[in-house]
Amino acid sequence: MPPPTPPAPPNSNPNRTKPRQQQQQQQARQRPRISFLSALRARYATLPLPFRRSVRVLGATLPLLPIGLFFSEHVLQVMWVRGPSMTPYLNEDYEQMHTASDMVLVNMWGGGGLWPWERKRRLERGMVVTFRSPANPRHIAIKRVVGLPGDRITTREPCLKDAQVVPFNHVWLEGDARDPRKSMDSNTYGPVSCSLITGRVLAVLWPRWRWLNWEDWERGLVEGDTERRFGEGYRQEVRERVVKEAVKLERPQLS
Amino acid sequence: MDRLLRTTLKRSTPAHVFRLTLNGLGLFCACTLVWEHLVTVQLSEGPSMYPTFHPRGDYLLISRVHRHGRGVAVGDVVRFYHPSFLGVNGAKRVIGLPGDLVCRDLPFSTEAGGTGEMIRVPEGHVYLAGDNLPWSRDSRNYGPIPMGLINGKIVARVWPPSRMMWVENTLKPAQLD
Repeated sequence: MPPPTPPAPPNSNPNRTKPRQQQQQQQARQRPRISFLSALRARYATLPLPFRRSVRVLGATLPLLPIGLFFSEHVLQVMWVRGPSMTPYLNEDYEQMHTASDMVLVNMWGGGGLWPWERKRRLERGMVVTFRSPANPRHIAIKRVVGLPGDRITTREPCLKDAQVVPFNHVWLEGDARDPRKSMDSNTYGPVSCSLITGRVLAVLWPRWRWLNWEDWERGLVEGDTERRFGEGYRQEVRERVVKEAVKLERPQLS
Repeated sequence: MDRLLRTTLKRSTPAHVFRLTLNGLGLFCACTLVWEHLVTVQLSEGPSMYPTFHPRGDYLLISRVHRHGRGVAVGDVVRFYHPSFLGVNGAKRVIGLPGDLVCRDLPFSTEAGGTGEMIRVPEGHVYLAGDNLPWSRDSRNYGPIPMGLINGKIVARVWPPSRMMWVENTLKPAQLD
């Protein structure tokens, strides 16, 4: 096999400059056009394999991070309930074990509209909701909706007034605890604006799995309480303090 | 056109479509998170903040880092969920922080601190007022609002360009001799 002939030196025929320029132009035309992207790709292929593999894994998992954050903020979230205010509905064993902390599933979808961040949630008596505590904006509280706009509530102990009509776009929230000192609720800070409510509790995940159905509040039932430990009319005395739709409220004027 | 269609068809394998959907969804969620946790641009409306914002509306740059009243001081203009309308935002100036004593004037009164009673702003609440006192519905009507309703602090007007400016804290401590 003959050795490859070396290419002719560029200055081999200095007398014929014009045809050489043409030749160079032709060569430039025939050379495969390398786009910027393929050059970049070629350069990337020279990088070591472990690096390329980690970039590949990162590229596959990176979109999952914002999706997960968005999901927990606007679709479903898992929260832990602390404190005795919803005993015995949540944290059933709080009397025996003061570290009881139920794990609940919260529906964060605003409801109604097309977009999850629209706030058009329809609230009903008996729903267990999460909201930013009016007294402490860093704290997320969990209570039961006892009164809707227009209801007249006969308040209980720490409240200064005897009766309160719930204003437009506000709800009366109370804990299920029988002892009023164990629950900091609307009796302390008054009716809570619906704009503060962030989510609705769907189910208890742990320690005893059960769906929570807000319609059972009016019937005095407790979910998963088959042997009727809490009697037939669960917290009937709370429902008796509420006069439903006592006042017909007008929509206030928005400036 | 034909070539474009053919390459598109060749590339649209299930795996490729899945990757494209995942990336698009991730981008959408990332944009939403930035919009809700860092900055928002929104058109104002209404005359309640008149000399600061034009009644016909200015586009405002809103820092969402200050939501739930984080790092808000007296004199800042904040954006908040309206306490009596679901899904409506308001923008007013903070007059009193928790524990401050403020004079709760009569609604729509033109003078500040003339009539009305002195109240102490409750824990976790702020007292708000518009700059255009006779045309503003604010804490004089609905009382101090919970800090949890605050969802941002208004930092600047960004449009129209003639009014492009930082929104400044115009409340200064009183100078006593």
